[in-house]
Amino acid sequence: MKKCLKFLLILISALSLFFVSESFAQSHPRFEQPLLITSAGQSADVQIGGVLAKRAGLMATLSKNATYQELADKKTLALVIGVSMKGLGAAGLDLDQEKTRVTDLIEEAQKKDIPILCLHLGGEARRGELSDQMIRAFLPYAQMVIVVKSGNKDGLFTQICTDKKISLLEVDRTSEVQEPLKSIFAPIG
Amino acid sequence: MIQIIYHFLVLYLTFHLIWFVIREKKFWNQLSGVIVLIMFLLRLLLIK
Amino acid sequence: MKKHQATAFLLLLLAALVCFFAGREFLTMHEEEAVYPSPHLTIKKRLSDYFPGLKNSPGDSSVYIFEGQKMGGTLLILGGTHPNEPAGFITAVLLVENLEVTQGKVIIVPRANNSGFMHSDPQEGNPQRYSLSTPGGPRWFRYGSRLTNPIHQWPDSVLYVNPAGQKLSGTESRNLNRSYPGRKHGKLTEKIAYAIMQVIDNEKADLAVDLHEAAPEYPVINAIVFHENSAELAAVTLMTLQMEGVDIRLEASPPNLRGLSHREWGDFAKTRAVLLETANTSHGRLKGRPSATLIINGKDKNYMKAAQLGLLFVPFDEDGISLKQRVSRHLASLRALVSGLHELHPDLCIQLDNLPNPIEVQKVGIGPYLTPSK
Repeated sequence: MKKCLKFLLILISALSLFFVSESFAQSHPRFEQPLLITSAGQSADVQIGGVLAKRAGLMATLSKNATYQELADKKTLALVIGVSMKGLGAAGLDLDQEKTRVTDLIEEAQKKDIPILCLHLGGEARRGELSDQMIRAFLPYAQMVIVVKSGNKDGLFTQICTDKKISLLEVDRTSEVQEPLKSIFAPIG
Repeated sequence: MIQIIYHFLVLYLTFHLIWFVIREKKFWNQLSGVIVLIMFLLRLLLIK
Repeated sequence: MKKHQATAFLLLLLAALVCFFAGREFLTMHEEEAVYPSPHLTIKKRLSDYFPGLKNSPGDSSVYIFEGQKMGGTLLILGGTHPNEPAGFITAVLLVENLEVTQGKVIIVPRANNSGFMHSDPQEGNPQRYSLSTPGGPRWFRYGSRLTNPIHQWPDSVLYVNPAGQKLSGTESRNLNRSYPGRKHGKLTEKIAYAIMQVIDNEKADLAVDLHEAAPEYPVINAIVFHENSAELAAVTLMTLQMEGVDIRLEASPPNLRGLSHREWGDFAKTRAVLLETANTSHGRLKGRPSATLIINGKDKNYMKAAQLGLLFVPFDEDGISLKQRVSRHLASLRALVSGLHELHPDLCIQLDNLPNPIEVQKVGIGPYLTPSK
């Protein structure tokens, strides 16, 4: 009897997990692989994006400083937003040059009908005047936004996403981005 | 080399101060000299 | 003998006495605190074993090596690069006194800049030492200076061109973390840097971690600064730490900022180079009176005010940021780095047993993990 109950419990939890992830996948846009992950602001958070994609088993290319030519064989553009002055300095860019680079990428993506996924992974620490400029400039082009909750304390992401009817997903911790990433991407082939 | 020059300078000024304290007749001037001397002695021993 | 001459000799005697007592007190700064290595220590070496040019110099320092039975990765941990950043030093001491390595190799240098431990910054009013209570009574540790002792390396030039070619202000020639990759025949600090590069080379360190602290008003705190060869490792580490409830951020090592450990260790020694920063109140410019208590409990009214004004890069309240919290953070980061290294490179497994549990350290303090004085 006990064994039976245990089995039932496991079955119910597995089914509910399946339905939850299915309903999640249905309520959010679907993206295709391969994807290009790049930074919008040159913060080191882009590395986390790379690891998350790798852990989610996605076919991804990480290029912090990607140019629009790199979108050639890609089906999704993932922008990891967050400005780091150190990062910009290291890349030999100023904020305007970085904005131009990202704008070029977005224009190319739109030309090729490549959907854009925006990630903000640095939380509250990766907000501030410069990061907010990037958020306001590029978030409206996204099909979906995933943000670590502490970065959306003031509701900036919610506001932009509501205005532009963009699908927004908030997670408590960076590592929690992995599962949704897995479910929003269609498997290859 | 520069450390040797430094030591010589401090040593020279230390001797001057000691000589001053010995020759000086007014107590308060002697005391002032000794207070400065302490700093020089500490510097001479590289205790600074 | 005239009266004024007698007074002069009396005063000179008094001066000599003052010098004697002041000097004696001053020279206690050269004393080294006791460290009691864990029974699992494989061998204790000196930096001069890797670079004889440091032999009998104040830059020479102990290197503790723990080697497991099974082959695995090699980890180098540096504490005390800046001797006024006690969390890094104490973390290294805790590891030396507790660790057992069953797989791989761990090399620990608690006093990376030994000379910096032998003096205090003038005009800062910092305490010379602080004590931590252990079950067997208090144990004291030196609170040194960020820079090499000027008695050991003097004078400072106006401009310093470091071994990596970066132009810096003259005093930085005494900053170990601006002197990499070091110079064999250079100034003392450059020789120390050179010796550490030799340790990385000779021991073939797969991962090298430099433990630091910085002021709460400095933007790079509670952070992992990584060389680009460790970017993925740093990201994996961050996620592990976040799962454990430790909030940390990533900072890439700028390729144009030369002479720092996280840059030159990666560029020259080709090791995975990481620098960890915690927030230390006693290190900051906004603090009130410097004291041993401030080092240990990290509580400060000025910093509370600064936090309210939004001037800090870490949360700060009336509880301060204590040494045990900072050490716990370093321990958690080291554990996460080692597990991340294993995740990314299964052949580079390092099995750390008896590593003080970061949560427990935060709960019960550092003392219970220190060996009582013998």
